[in-house]
Amino acid sequence: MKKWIITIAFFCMFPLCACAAAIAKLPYVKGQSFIVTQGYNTSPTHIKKDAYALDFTQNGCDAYGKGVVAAASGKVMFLSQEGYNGGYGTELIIDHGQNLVTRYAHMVPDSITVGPNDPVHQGQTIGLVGDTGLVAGMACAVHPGTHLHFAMDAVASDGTFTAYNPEPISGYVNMTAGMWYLSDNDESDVDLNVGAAPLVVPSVSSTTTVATTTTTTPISILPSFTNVGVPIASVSATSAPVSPSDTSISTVATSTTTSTPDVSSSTSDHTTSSSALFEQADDTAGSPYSFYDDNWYDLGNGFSGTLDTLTLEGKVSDPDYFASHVWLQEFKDENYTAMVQQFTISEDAPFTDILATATFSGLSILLKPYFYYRLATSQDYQNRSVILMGTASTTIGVAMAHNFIYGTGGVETTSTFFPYMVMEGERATSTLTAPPLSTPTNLTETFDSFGMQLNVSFSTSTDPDWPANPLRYQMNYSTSTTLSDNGWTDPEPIPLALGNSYLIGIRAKDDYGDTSAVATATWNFPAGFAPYLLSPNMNYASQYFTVPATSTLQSIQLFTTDFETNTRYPDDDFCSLQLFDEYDLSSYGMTQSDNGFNGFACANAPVFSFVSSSPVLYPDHRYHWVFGIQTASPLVGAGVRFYGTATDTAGGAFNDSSLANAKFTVTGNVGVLFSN
Amino acid sequence: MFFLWMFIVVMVAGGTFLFIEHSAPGVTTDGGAAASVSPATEPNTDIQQGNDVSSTMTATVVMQTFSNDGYSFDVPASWNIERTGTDTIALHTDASSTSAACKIEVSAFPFASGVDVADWIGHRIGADPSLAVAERSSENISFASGTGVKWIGTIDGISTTLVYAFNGQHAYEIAPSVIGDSVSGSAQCDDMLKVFLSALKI
Repeated sequence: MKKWIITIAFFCMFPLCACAAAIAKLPYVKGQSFIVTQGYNTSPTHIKKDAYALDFTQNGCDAYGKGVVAAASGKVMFLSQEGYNGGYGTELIIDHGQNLVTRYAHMVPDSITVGPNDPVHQGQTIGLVGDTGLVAGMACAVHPGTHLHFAMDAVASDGTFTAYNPEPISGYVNMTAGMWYLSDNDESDVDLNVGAAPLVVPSVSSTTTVATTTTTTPISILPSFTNVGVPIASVSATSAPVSPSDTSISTVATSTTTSTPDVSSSTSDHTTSSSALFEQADDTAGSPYSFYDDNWYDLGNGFSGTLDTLTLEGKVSDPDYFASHVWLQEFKDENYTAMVQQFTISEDAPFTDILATATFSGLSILLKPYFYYRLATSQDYQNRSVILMGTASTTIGVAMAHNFIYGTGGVETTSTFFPYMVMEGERATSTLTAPPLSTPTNLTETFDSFGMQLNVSFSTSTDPDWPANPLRYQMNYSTSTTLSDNGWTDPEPIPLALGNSYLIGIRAKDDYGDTSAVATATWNFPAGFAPYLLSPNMNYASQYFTVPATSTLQSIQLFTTDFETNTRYPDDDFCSLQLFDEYDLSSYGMTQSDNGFNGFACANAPVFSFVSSSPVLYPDHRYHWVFGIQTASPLVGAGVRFYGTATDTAGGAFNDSSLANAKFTVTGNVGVLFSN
Repeated sequence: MFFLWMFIVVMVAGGTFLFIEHSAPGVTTDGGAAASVSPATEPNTDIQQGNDVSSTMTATVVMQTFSNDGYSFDVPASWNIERTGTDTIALHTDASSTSAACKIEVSAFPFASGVDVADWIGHRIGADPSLAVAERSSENISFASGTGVKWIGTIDGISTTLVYAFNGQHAYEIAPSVIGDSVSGSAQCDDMLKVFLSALKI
């Protein structure tokens, strides 16, 4: 019964979409470790509604026949014991309520143990890991491609399925291909009588239990949030099935030494003539064509100008399958790891199996010298590839002036395919004028007793070398009298330790990498406010309160400091806030229950607005707010502040200091609540 | 390894293969003599009791015959036949190869006579409510014995070929897909499907 209480309590706090995600556990039996072979947002199968899908397997054939268990409780929406099913093979979809479903695919035919509309509880074995449908990988010769495809989707009212981030799963976040994950999914964690029902918002009467059960660990329901995947250790790269998107890709070849313009000089004219390889994954000797699972061509940098028309010559590996995609991706770094943006050249490039030319016009893509570019291509259906070559024309500058040149050996060759190009970058002026920046202006202190951070704002300026571009700014700060050389980052709020003095520096940077002089300022921040530690796990705080007069609640403002730090994961963190009316001290009515408190609304110092409903609070009622938060790192300093108006008394409805400045902290991982 | 495996076969009547060139290990191709032939692959461990698998040889190619409830076929013995379920099998061209390979899955479903075939196919393909299905073509085709429908279209944007066969009480779904580490084997997969369909008897 205790577990039942905790389950209900948890559901009370997070009755919305985040609830199901929060309790998801790994879809295989407790104690088992599986490796992720294909992660999120990997073409062609983990995109669109499967963008948050994960493929799990084990060494060789070890995974085949292992139990698949429900990641969360719910009821069966769809099952197919056999057949192709769009590539999912034997599959099961569980409806968890709240418009969330999970999918389990490629299972062994006829292994699904539940029937249509059956209730399913978390941890219940629902099938066996198999290799049916569209799978890849040769690690298991007897059952090639054995793995479990697991995904969570949100289902819209029109039936449309869209990808939904299932994390944390058993406490794991940022799940990544190549990592092993240990399951804690045991049906013994869930009372079967409760677990057999779909997720529902339970009766609020059980919320009372929340406050009185604070010493009971929620870990069985809320696993530790600090789990991390384990890197591959004993598994060789060839022993695990290979996901469709990561096969045969070797390290990207490096550019030739002549391909990289000098980016270190701040005074050179940057007029360069350089050549760069189309950097492409190494080929497998003997392949009739240079087709790859992930096809890209690293173009290097040094471009300046607006790419208007791109002419590419290409072919696809299989003429029966169409839709060749071509993108131009812009990166900050030469390792092509920090993509800034992606431009779509074509979503349906008309390439066939015969080498042909296609011209894409009207692109109007600004190419900047100190960014790195990559042409990426793919063809729908199992990463069939596109070979590209071609030319480009520009309306400004000399982008891709000498354009793409066919590689040595041509296209159809058994030798490694390395076409190359020659490109020129040319800047408008030969010297860089120092950006018009003398000192940071409008330094705005948003620090208060809740949010210990400093936001800095300043006027932006236009790059004199490239008027179409604003200057980029970088910030650095230190508690000493000097700034480190390598601490420059894009401006972002500075997390503060109170009582310190901070030296803050700002500098401008143009697209050529030239930087301005540094403007500095020193700011002092008072001591006297002790930070409060919050649990690194999902946790909550709550408080009862009354109002002195009939009042209209306008908003509740939450203060945290974590969400603006570098630990923020906007897709994963979420918070929710509920307000209950205990009008007869025996049951609750939820005063505010809309979905506006979840997920992306959980920024720093969010304001939960009650403008739409403007609930009226009465002095003879008792109210109860419950705030829940989940983040990847501990929070420091958090609080709740109420705003509203009183209708019949002076002094306001929220003159109780405990409400006007309510702070809370939760320590440890056991949900012990301290209200301040 | 793919090229080591490459060979050319020419179909002759009755699903018999005429061997022209074959360098697969375990097969002796000395002038067509049959005496020293050994299986090209290890026995299929998935094929168990009552699956009616036997190896025969025509010319110099080791063949295997598989029969299940309502259908049968002859394919080279180098193909791995995986019995994945009660009514389902999967054929792999060469599962031990590190190069591209192809899989053909055959699933059986109950089928009532009188049901509109096109409707049934449409329902089967789109049974999963999350799928976006678009048909490009649907044509009647013939097997070694019997006829069926070849459906080509996209499912969730991925080009897909499916073949359906009917024998009165059963409908069979035949789904080819590439399973190799490389994607260069699509032609091999198409050839495999042609070989299979040409040998299929419903």
